[in-house]
Amino acid sequence: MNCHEFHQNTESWLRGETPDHHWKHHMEQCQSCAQMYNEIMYSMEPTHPQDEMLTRKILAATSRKPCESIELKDDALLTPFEKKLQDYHLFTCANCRNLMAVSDQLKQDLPLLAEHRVPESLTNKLLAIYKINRYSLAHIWRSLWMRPRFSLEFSYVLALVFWIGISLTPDHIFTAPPILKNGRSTLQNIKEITKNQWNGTLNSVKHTWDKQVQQAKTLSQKAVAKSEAMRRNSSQFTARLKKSSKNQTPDRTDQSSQKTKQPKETSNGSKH
Amino acid sequence: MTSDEALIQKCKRGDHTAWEELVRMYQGRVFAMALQYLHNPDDASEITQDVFLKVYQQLKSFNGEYFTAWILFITRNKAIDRLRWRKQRSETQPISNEEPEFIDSRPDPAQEWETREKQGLLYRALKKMAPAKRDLLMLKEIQGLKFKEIAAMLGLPLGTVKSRSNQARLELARAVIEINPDYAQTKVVGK
Repeated sequence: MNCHEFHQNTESWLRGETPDHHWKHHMEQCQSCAQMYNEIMYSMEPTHPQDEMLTRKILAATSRKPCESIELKDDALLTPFEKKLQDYHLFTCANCRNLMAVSDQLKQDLPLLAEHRVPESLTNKLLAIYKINRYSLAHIWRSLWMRPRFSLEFSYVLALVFWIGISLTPDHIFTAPPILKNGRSTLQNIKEITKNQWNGTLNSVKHTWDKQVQQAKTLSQKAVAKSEAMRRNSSQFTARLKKSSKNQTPDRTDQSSQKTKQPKETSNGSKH
Repeated sequence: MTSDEALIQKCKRGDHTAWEELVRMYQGRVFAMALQYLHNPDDASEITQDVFLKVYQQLKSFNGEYFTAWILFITRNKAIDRLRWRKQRSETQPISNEEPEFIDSRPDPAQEWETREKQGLLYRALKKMAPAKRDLLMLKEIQGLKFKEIAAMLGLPLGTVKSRSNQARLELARAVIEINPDYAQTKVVGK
């Protein structure tokens, strides 16, 4: 083997297609070829730092979906390295180039959607807000009711208050007299009960008073009758005395004095 | 003090003219945002009224710097509440399929017609998107809020908002390309 053959077939030897002993024999005899071989072997070890951009370029060029290997970004968000990578990709990919163009155009066009033409009636309503009562209950209620949680919580509180109200109601209202069973309201029933009780009290007082008056009348009538009887008795007694004194004898006077000593029963049964 | 802050200070003092100016300045944006959530002009009108009533009631206690973000935050919350209420009642509100009439101050009828076409196309593409991504697009790209404001509003980290906003715009771009592949070629003279 000469030096020309050695240089031309180095690659096939490195791929393992040519046997080793020819090469080794020539390198032992030729110093220049041995030096070239050593230089090749040393260059397989990395002596310079790896170029990331170069790596990415190679990957982007050789991968099946280059658009997915790179994330298109705004210029302001890119580092210088990413900017170069993106520019390289956009140079090679028409789809991404179109996409970036549309994206850049959107930056100018989207602000056109910022404002909408408002009907004059709405403007008048908005201006009238200055004049309306800021604490309008109807409006506050409406805006609160629109909040989903508020309507649920309000319904819950209402149910709770109703339940507590029923639980605390006194029993006598539900075991009330038949007057309540007619379906009238509790307040009306209470008013009627109170009225009836008052009338009942008045009636009983009146009855008591009448009774006492009647009793007093009866007693006074009795007293009058009694006094009348006493007066009659005394007049009869006086009349007898007068009569007896006119027809008076000594015997008769003793008899009359005995008679006067004995108690006489009057017509009403009382003894003097 | 910015013009918005001066206007708000006047409103706090009870200046009716300032309130009118404030209403006319923001009613379009509030109505547009409510409509983009609810797709029903009647509901959007009610939400707009509720938003301005709440703003009027709480204006005296407002001492922040970001009035636009605040009013849009209220709009968003009220619209979402209405959507939940609707869903809870299982009401099928008549969703308007008509494309809304956006404000356009261009005098040229041809340009106005082109703009309306484009706005209609964007509106249809937005309807196809997922609610979370549409939300982000509405706040960032349409209403022009800052990332910081959006992050505070949605309760998300700043980095997440930035990356999701970008993804949302790309998704919208795909939806637009589906409807009209030549979208990027047609241009509208911007505001």
